[in-house]
Amino acid sequence: MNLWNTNNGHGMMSRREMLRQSSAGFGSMALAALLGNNSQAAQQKFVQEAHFAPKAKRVIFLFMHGGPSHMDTFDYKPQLQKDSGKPLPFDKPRIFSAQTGNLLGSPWKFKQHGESGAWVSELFPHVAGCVDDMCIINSMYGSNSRHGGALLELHTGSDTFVRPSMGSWITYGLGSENRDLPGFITVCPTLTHGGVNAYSSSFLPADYQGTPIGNASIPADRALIPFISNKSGIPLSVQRKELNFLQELNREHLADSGPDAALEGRINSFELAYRMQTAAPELQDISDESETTQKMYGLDNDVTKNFGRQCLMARRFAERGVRFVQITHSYKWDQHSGLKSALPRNSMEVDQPIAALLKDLKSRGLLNDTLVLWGGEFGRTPVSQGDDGRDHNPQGYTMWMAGGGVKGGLQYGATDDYGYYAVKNKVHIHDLHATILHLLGLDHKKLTYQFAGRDFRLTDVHGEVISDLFA
Amino acid sequence: MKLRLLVVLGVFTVFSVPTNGALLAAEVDLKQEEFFEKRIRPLLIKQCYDCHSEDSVESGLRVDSLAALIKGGERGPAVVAGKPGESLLISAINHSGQIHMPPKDKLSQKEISDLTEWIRSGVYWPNAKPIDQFQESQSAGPLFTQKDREFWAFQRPQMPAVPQVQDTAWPQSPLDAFVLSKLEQAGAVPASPADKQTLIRRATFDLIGLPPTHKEIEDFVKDDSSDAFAKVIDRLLASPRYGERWGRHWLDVARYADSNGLDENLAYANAFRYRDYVIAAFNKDKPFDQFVQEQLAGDILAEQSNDESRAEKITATGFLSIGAKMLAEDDETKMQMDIVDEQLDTVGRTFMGLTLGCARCHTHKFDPIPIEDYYSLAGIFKSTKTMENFTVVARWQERMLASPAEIKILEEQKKQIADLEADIQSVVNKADAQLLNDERKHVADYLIAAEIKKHADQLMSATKPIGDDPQSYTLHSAVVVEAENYQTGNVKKSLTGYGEGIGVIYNNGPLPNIAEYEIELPESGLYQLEIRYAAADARPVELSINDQLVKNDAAGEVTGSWYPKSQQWKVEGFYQFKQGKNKVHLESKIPFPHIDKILIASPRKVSKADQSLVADVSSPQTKLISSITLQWVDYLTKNSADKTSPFFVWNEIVRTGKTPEKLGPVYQRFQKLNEQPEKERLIKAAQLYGELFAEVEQEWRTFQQTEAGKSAKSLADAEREAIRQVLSDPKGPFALPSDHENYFAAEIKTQLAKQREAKKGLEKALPQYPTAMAVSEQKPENVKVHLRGSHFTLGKEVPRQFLQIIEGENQTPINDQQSGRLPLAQWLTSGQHPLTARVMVNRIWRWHFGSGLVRTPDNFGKLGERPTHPELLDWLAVQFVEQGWSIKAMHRLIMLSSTYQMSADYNAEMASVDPENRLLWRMNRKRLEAEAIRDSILAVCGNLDYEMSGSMLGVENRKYVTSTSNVDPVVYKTNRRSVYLPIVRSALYEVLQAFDFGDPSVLSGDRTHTTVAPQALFMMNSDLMMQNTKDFADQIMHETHLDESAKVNRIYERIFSRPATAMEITQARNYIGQYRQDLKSLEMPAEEKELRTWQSLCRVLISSNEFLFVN
Repeated sequence: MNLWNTNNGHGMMSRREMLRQSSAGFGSMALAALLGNNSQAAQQKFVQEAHFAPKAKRVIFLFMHGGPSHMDTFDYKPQLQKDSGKPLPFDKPRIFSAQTGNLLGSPWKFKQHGESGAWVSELFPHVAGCVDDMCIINSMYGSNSRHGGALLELHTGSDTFVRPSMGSWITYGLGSENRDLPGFITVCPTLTHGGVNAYSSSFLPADYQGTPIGNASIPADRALIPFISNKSGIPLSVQRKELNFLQELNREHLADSGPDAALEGRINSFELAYRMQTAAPELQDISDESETTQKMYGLDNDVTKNFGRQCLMARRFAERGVRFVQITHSYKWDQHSGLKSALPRNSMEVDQPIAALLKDLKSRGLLNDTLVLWGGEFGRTPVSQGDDGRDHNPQGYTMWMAGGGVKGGLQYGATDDYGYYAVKNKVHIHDLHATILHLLGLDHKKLTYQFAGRDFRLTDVHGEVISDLFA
Repeated sequence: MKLRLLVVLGVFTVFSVPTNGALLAAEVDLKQEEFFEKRIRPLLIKQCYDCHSEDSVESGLRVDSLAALIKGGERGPAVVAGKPGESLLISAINHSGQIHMPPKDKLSQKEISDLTEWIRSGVYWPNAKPIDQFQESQSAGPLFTQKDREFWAFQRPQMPAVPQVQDTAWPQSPLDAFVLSKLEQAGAVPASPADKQTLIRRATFDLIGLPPTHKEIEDFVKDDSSDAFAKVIDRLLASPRYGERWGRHWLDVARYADSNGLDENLAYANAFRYRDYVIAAFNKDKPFDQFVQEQLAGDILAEQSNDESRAEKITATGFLSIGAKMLAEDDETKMQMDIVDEQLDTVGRTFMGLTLGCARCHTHKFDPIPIEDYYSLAGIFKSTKTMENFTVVARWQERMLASPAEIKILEEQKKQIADLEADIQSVVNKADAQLLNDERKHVADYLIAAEIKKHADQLMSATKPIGDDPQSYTLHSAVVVEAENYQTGNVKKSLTGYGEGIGVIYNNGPLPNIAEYEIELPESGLYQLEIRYAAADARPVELSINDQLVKNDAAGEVTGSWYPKSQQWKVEGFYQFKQGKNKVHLESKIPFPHIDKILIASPRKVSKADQSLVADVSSPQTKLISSITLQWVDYLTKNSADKTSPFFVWNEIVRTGKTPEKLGPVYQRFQKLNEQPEKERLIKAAQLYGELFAEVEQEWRTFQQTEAGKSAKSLADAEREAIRQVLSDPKGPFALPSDHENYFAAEIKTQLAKQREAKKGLEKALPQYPTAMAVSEQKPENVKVHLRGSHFTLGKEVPRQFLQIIEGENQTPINDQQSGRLPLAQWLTSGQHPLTARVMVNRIWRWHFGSGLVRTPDNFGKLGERPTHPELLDWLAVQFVEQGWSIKAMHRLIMLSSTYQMSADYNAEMASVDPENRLLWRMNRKRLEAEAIRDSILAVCGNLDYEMSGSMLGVENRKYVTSTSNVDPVVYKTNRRSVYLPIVRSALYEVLQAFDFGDPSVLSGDRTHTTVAPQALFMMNSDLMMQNTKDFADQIMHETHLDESAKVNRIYERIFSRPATAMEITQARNYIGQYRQDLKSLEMPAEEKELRTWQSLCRVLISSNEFLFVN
């Protein structure tokens, strides 16, 4: 405890007080586990000491809410095409969410792409051009067949309880790189199926809560950080003077009170807030992007412009050192029916923007240390629901990663002949989490936080790092 | 370990040297040994040792010796010699049971068959002793160690001796002696007493969560009597604001919220009754033991009383019900056990400060809570009914707040209604049967009508909307109706936004949506009907003309967007209209598309080339039901390619004009059709079909009269059976149409209308009682231990009883007449329980001082902190029980102490020795909590609304509170106290969230306080700050009798509850002056500038640390 008693005449700080005034500006200090609720010696450890050299510095998570069909996108199943209309020749899982019928072949054609020859359906023509940078995991599986549970599981590792989300754990472990911005930003997050829980810090300190920019019902170009716009109706220069006066009063109050880290922290927080207020609009104002760039992301097209803007924002945040950026293509991928009409529309909305993001990151040299993750809360069944739909399927599905130290051009693992169950090199969500943390230089077994009587991890008591995915 | 095992086995081998037939056996052994060493051992090492050998014994299983395999792990023996079918190992490697091993990739088929064979042939393991000599090891030692038993938290609190202190003047009560004694031991002195202004501000925030008024301070400062502060405390405790403040503290622990959160976020629209119960309980100082009992077992206590408190007691059990729940979980057993777990974990931490939840999967790693204890308590909650059902989306139970007599009457009334409904249904069913029976006689007519309709549809798909060409309106005698001019209906009209410049109708809240038009036509005949609408998604509506449903997917296309630019004319069809008034009726169970206009016009003439065989056929004379005709169209279209369909012949005639050459036996009669003139063939064919269907129907009736036919499900002849099915298929052409009741006989319609009217009357007369989220008793049952927390791997059943570390290992289990909640509540509140009183007095201390005597108020276990002042904690706990569990008495006890009344003055020396103030050398400075911040802003700005109780959720019970398409509909724009704001899990109000309200899904007796930039942004830019400081400034400007200095002073008095110093006044006036200068160049009315200037001062002072922190 003495470690923190920097009795330098201006006062001392307890660990907790340090946290309180830390806000978003931890930088390289990465104080991780010492920010405890319980002032236990056990909480005192520096993350960098324990873990290893990172391959990725930040994450961009492209979340496809609803559960995209893997058999129609990135998991080519010729046998399914052949046996379309026949009954599934093996048992369906014990737990399922709706009644399903016979096998339903994909209505879309698959082709091999790139030097790696990875199979991608015609729904993703642009992304298909990037397969040599992508590491496609065809053998994902999870534990929950409902949106709420599965969405929580993907984001927090638990399908039952409220736990810190992956972005919170990562910022907790690594801190933020930009003193003017939060370390964890989520653009247009969904309000449903758990809402805030998908980016909540839960029992981790509030600093690691994801900062939402808008929500799923707001177009990306109108989404803002809460309270960020100057609403006083007066020029910034005048607002600055108002702040100066406030700080003057606060300093006088501090002098009367004696040294107090909480009071000091609050003084600093106003300075950071002012900087954020100045930095954020610049960040969201994309007018400095060239026309070519805007076009590349599809901002000139009604179909692609909303998600294109999210992708572009993600790049801008990543560029400025935001540790974890999530963008959400909200609740459009739940094709219980209308597969043939909805899936092409969804894919069209995201395909070009995603490819643009990958290419843009690459051309700026950012893809090396930025891990891009794509996927939904589960996949879908190879058997049909109604005559033009597929039900939820957490038993086997696809997610892919790119950049950030993963092997490009890899198709890893496999589902059975029809795409129902992951069978080869299965990757559970816990394994995915462990792997992502590893790429960021964090050991998933050591990144812990004590709460309610025990140490918690993103991966609970599970998780294996899949090193086959590493470049 | 391994070594010792080998030695033991080795010794054994010596004693078991075979004597007879040894040679033969040895040969067999050799073969088996070879098989084992080549196939089995390497396989076990490669695939299983990582997790199941000496270094890592997952699930208690090792596979590195035969003894270990036979003993097995947590789930029982892994192998049963000779019986692969009963061996867990085999089901695990086959991935056929609940356990899949290895967890990722299945072993190869060869490996699986090797292991199976090995078990079948008797699990040969070199040098292992014979299997029948394995004994289950009896290694179980005592359940708890001496250290476990001696842990401080499990000792009953004893009244400690009050310590002697040197400074005898300081203590006002024994409480102070405990604190001072510690300070003196450390060679420290307590901080000087707080001045009276500081003290009353502290006490007021503490007890009611609001700042004192300037007058309250003045009165207190002037009051020199010795009980001046005691009077302040009594005044505050008597204020209804007290319950709002302290009730909210309890709601943190009770993880109160107005929605279930987690997944399908539904409104707990009745949760507020529990919240109001809590506030009332604090206001009336309900003894804590009673408070605990009511929350855990109020429903049982309610059975013992029939007074007003009955409803209150049932409401109290909302405590168990309001937790966060996954309501969409396909695995019902998991959902139920998760809910039990949530309750158990909350009860454990709330009342005992024990993290019981940790014992769900395995015996608690730190505290002496065996997994058996968890499931003993789980049995109590499994025997408690919290949910109505566990289907997706699951329903939680709500109970009516009415007396048993009232409920009985209500049940009778409901039965009356149900009976009447059954009557209505039977009338409808009978009439339906009659209707369909009648219509089945018109097969021939329907066939013709369906073909005419199909033909008309074809024509329509070729025709272009007349609506697009206004110049041709006259030519077609077009009648155009604006959609918003409907005669009856409930849809909304929009003249802006979606209806900008055109006016549209769209959906209204309650469904179904209806719009009905009366349209006058000069003459009868076939007309073309068109609708102009915009739609981003398909939203088909039902179109009826003169009470006949004619189309069920009208206006059902996607035109692009909801906006006027996507408005398009679409031809809906050709329909018969009569002369004079016609009724056009649009109805939908889902929202409407955005409809602009309706057009009815004479169709364009069709060119001869488009005409088909059908074109010359005239409509049947019989009055047909158009919705049934539509069903015929669907059916014929769907089966047009099916050669086995009874309508194959028909379809061929329509398509080619001829009967097909090969005909089944039943269809021979169609052979001679080709001899007829082409024109007559269709009519003739329809007649033949009519006869054929009538024959089959007759045949079926006759057959059913016979002995053999009584129980028959079908006709023997496949072709005839297919015909019978067409007639009876509930999805076939004679399905019951949705507008069936329109065709009932007039007297039946009258009868139904009468009965429904009567039913409506009865329903209206039903008394409306409020309901509360509440639990009740259900069939008591014990629960089996869930190994690793999974309901797939059950261990032994355990009796319902209490924690063994506290209540002992020999308890009388709870009997099978009750769940055990009442005994549990009584056990907690007996006054003998080591934790209940301690945990609560510590909470009270925490909410007064900012830190508890145990600094982990929700965890008194080993990983929690030890009390800083154990004797004081015990003394308080004993006092608490002795004073009748009165919380208000504890406030007085604590606040009338020198400890509480210390100042927060800084002391450099103490700050270096004890920076966290564990010794209590001064009062902690505290930042206001989220609610106190918001309430205080409203209060000082003159806007706080003191109305109590009731719900502000504004969402119907069990309806979704948030969804992607519907931004949080909950309205926070209110000036009522924050405790009444809706707490929506997964979408917490941003102001509460910004200031560390915490996650309402988990209990929190120790809110954290962060200082982060978004909080500063809130002060700088939030609507709440802007509006309230503006109102404040406006009030100040209107106090025209005050000069500028006096105005500044008034602002200080209201915000800080104290006058401004002369220096502060000068400072503020300088600032105001500067601000006015800065605004000068802005284009804005002078008064507005003045308002903004004063507003800025208010904003600064409210944002200041002096306002936000309490000394």
